[in-house]
Formats: sequence, C-alpha cells, structure tokens
Amino acid sequence: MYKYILQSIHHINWFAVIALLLFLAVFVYGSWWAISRRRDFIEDMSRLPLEEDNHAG
Amino acid sequence: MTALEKFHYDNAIVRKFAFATLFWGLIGMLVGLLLALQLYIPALNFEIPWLTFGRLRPLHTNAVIFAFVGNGIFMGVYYSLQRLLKARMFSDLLSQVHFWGWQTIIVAAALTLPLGLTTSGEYAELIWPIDIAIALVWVVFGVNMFGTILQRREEHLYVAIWFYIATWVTVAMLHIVRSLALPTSLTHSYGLFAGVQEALVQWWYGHNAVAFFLTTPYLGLMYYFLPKAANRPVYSYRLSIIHFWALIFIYIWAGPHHLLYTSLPDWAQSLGMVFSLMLIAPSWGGMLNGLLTLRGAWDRVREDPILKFMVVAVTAYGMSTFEGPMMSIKSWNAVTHYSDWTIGHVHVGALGWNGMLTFGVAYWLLPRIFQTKLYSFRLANIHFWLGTLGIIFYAVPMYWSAIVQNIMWRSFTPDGFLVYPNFLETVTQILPMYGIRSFGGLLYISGVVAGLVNVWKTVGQGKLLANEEASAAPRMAHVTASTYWHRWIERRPMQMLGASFVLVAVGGLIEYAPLALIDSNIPVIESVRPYTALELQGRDIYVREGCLGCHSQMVRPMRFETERYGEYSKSGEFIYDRPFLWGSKRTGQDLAREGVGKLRKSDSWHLNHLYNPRNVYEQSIMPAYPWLVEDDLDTSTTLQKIRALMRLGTPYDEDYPEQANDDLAKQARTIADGLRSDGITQPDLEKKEIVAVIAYLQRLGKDITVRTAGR
Repeated sequence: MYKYILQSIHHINWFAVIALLLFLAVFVYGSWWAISRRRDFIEDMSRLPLEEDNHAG
Repeated sequence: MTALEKFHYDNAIVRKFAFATLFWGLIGMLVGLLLALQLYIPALNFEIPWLTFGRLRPLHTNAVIFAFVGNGIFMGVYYSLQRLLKARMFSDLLSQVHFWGWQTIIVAAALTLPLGLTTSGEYAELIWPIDIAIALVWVVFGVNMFGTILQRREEHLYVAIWFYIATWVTVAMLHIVRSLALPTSLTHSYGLFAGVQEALVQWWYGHNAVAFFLTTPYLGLMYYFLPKAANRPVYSYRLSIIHFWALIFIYIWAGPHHLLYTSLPDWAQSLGMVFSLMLIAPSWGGMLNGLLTLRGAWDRVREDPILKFMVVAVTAYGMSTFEGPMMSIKSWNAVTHYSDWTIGHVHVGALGWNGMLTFGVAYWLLPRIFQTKLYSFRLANIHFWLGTLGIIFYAVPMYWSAIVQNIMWRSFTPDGFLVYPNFLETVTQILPMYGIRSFGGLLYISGVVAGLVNVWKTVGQGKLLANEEASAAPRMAHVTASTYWHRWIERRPMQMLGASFVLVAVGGLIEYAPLALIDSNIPVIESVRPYTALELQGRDIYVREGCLGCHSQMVRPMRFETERYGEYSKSGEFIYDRPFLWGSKRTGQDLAREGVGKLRKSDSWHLNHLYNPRNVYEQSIMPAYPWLVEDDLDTSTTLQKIRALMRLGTPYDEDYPEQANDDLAKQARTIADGLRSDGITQPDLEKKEIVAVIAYLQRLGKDITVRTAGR
C-alpha cells in the first residue's frame, strides 16, 4: 500500500515540511512548558546535583 | 516526619569503569599516534598485515569511541545516577555483567579488527557475533539503569538522567538497525541494506553515534559534574529542558550531511543540511548553559585544574558544534569532505569535548571515592596544558592541510587541464602538516601519561570507599492527579523513554521511507551487473584490508572531480554493493573509475603497486601488501557468499552458486596468464589473493562505461 502512496518523488517536499512542523510543535511546547514553570520548582531542580550526596534533605 | 532510609552507593563499579576508561584511552590514543606516523613513514606498517593502517584505523576509532568514551560514560553515569536518584544501582550482578561484558567486547574488537574481520561500516565495523554481544550488554546496562530509576528515592528526574535515557534508547535503535545482516560464516556477513540505502542508514547511524554516544551522555555528565565542580547550580534549568528536546529531535535528521554531493537523492541531502544548520541552536544552548554556570566563579577556574578541563571541554563542544553545521553547508562541504578538515573537526570534538571532560570528571570523582585529595594539582595542570596544546597542534595542521590540498585538487591551467593531475603530488605537499599533527598527538598523549601518574599516586594514597553510606527519605508512592503533561513524562522514566524513542524514530523513518519506497530515487542502470565470484572475493579482501579508510569510491558532480576521475557517480551503480564503499576520506585517490578510461592500469601495474607502492611511486605513503601475492585465496566461502547475496536480492542465475568457483578459477587463470605474459614469475598466481583484488579493481567503473558505449 505504501508503495502507491510514495510512488512519486514530486511531492517529496512535504516530508521536509512535516519534519519542520513536527520540530516546531515539539520546540514550541517544550519552550512554553519550561518558561511557564514556577520559579521554586526550577530552582529546586537545578540544585539537585548540589545536595549532599548522603543526605536527601 | 518521614524516617530516613539508610543505603549504600556502589563506588567499586565506578572505580572499575574509571580505570578501564584511562587504560583504554591510552591504548586507543597510542594506536592513533602510530597511525599518524604511518601516514608519512610508511615503513611503520612493517609489512605485517595486522599492523597496517587500513586495519588499525578502525581499531583506533573503536577504541577511542567505545572503549575510552564508552567506559567514561559508564564511569560518570554509575556515579551520578546513584546520587541523583538517591539509590544504589539496581543490581550489583548486572553492574558486574555490564562491566566485564563491555571489556570482553573491547578485547574481541581489539583482536578481530587487526585480523581484518570487519564489515567496513564506519564506527560499525565489528562482526555480527560481537554486534549481538553489544546489544545484550546494552540491554543489561538499560535494565540496571531503569531498575535504579524505578527504585529511586528522589521524585524528579534531573535533566542529566533525561540525557542518559535518550542515549540508551537511541543507541539501542541505531545499533540494531545498522547491524542487520545475513551471516555467511561466523566472522562474515552481508548487510540487509545495499548501495545508496545503506549509505543513508550508515550515516544515520554514524552521525548519531557521534550525537548519542559522544554528545548526549556527555551533556548529561556536564549537567551533573560541572555544577558539582563549580559548586553552583546550572545557569538555566529551563534552557536545559528546551535544549534537550530540541537537540534529540534535530540530531537524528542530520546524518545525510555526510553524503552531500554524493549519489544520495538531493532532497535527502537538503533535509540533512537544513537540520544540521538548525543544530547550532540547541548545541550552543547546552554550551552556553555550561559556560554560564561558571558566572561569578571564573576566578576559581584560574586555580582549579578540574574546572580548567571542563571549561576547555565545553568550549571545544561549542567550537565543534559550530563547525559541524558550517561543514554541512553544501558549498563548504565541497571543500571539507574527503579532506583532512573532517579529521581536524572530529578530533576537536573527541580530544577536546570528550577527552577533557572525561579527565575533569575522573579528577573530580576519583579522590572522592578514594577518600583523599588529588595527589598533585601541579601535575594536573601539566596534563591540562599538554592536552590543550596537543589539540591545537593537532587541529590547525589538519585545517591547513585541507585547504592546501583542496587548492591543488581544484587548480586548472589556462588551457583547462588539471595543474596537479597526479594525486600523489597533492599528498606530498601536506606531509609536513602530518608531521605537526603527530607532534600534537604526542603532546596530548604525554598529558594523558601525566594524568595516569597523578591518578596512580592519588589512588595509592587513598582507600576505596567501596560502599558509601547514604540516607534519604523514601519516595512518595503517588503522583498528584493534577499533574501536567511534562511532569507526566518528567517523573516517569518509561514515558520519558517512550517519548524519546518516538522523537528519534520519526526522523529516521521519514528520511529512510521515501528512499526505500520510491523507485525513482534510485534509477535503474541496465548495464550494472552483479560482481563475478572472483570480483566479489576481491572486494571482500578490499574490505578486509580497510582500503576504504583512504580511498573513496564516489565521484562528485564537480568539474575538478570529473576531470580527474571520470563520469560522476550515480545511485543506480551501487545497487549490488554490500557494503557500500563510498568512503569519507581521500588519503589516496578515488577508485570509482579505477578500471576504465585514463585511470585504468595494467594488471601487472596493480600487482607491482600492491606488492610495494614505492616500486611504482617513490614518494607513495601507501602501505605495502606483499601477502596478497603470497597468500592463497580462500574459495571455500564463495558458495555461501553467493547464496547469501541471492537471498538478499542480487540477481545471480539460479545455478550460479554451484558454478561460482569454476567461474572464479576461469577468470583467475585469464588474469594470471596476462600477468605471466608481462613477466611476473610468481608460481600458482591464479590461486593468489592478488588476482581477486586485481579483478575487483579492474571492474570499478566498467558498468557505466558499457552503458555509455551502448548509447
């Protein structure tokens, strides 16, 4: 079945467009999520490696 | 208030991987230094098969990538994962199986590659039984890692762990797909993909081996160890999230930039180029996040050699991830591809980013698990400066060499002829740069030796804390119902695994599917025929000797190439090529048209040249292959090879497998008779390997010539 869908090279540019749209969707959502998080959550996460190795706090 | 649980971190496994990292790093780099010397002192090939450049080059790349960096990844992951999750590794047994399994694979690679047992796929050279072992050990690592994540005491997964998860799932996918093959014996196989399709799969794999083995796990290490060493949080956790998702999505598409101006369809090349350019943003997001973590602490960089290592590592990452996209622009790629620029580029990444970060991490964690201080900061500083100068003395001559050689390749006389028609003229000009490069390598290795002494003394003055006591509150078992999309992923490793897999798989599928399913991507050339049995055996010897490391088989559609080599290469020429042999570096000339036109030489010329290239060109740097003239060709494998190729779709006649060795002997006799008439007196010539290699070399380019004549 797929051979019939992809039997011509003429509309191959849609693959690039789909790729870019997919990237934009991921990028925009990821950016929105990261920017909209609470400051204290972000600060807690960024300090995780600095916690004493033998104490969870 | 919740009671704290007591548990122990496993430092013994970290020590093991740390020692393995340093040991294999030294071995891999010493092999690299020998290779660098062989390139201008061919006598250092010693005319010993397992010491020749072609066989040792994949040993060097595999040792540095999978032994040095691989063990470095595991050293850092086993240390940081336990502490970020506040849990001991899931299974001590799996940790041991992982460690010894990985070292066994490295030893197997170190034995098989010099023996010429190779598939020839760059960074995927290992034979199929070792490929299976790699997959199994990788699964062991995955089970151990995900088991640890599932039994963690810390609710949230720090961004470093996201990088580890993406690394695991993507490397598993890449390795399995690239290794798909049909065995013909215990040590030989033919890949499922052929020609252009294999080229795309190879560089989808090869580029992402760089991305997901040399980059993403090291970014994870950077996000853990750089804040630890600087004692300050990462500059922007938000940026780390954005650049993580953008990086893993974009990277997977960029592979075709290794195939610009080749026979890969133009749309795939353009797609690879665009995504490669886009890569600058997430890559520099990570680089800036690393460097800005040191804001307000730059005074400490002056004093602390560990931070110095890390700063140079992150800077080298920034340099190579700017350079990579620039090299993906077609007009610049036309200069850099097949030249020493690529060698300089990869070494800025390997020596700078991976090497310096590995040593920074090792210097940071070894004194801690051995409960002591670093033996000598002075020695660490010496290591740092030798390493940094070594990178400069390595990379600059390579860029210089690439530009000089490109100018010579492209020079035309006013009458339109090549100024330097003999490829060797363009090689002898750059030999001084090869000398400076090996000096750079020597400097870098001297630094590593200083580092090893420092580690030896540090370990000697301390005592391993094999089981480090720790305590933490147990993790809350529930997650609130009001979780949002990203927390749904961020707190749950299996969802994170699934999301990462979807993102990396979609890129590969969209790139590969049209190439496999649209026939017009690879137009049929009627005159292209499968290799004869003798040519096939000769081709496999060509693969065994690693000729691919120095000779491409891809004429790009540029005047200075077609003038030198002949008609440019077409995708339909390669449909029976398993493996494809386009290559990525020209230390010697392209061989795609070696059997036709003005490049064609006599059979006796090839014999003399392969026996000792200095017999033909006094200044040649090519290794000698006297054993090809002395060793008998193994024809016992012919039947299995032909049958395997037929199963993969090569259209031999039904009865050809049974006739193959008769056909082989007949063609060999014809070539041997010709050699005797040229005065070659070697007895039993028709039984020697050299005859098969000559048959293969004389075949190169013939199919296209037949087609042209037919017109």
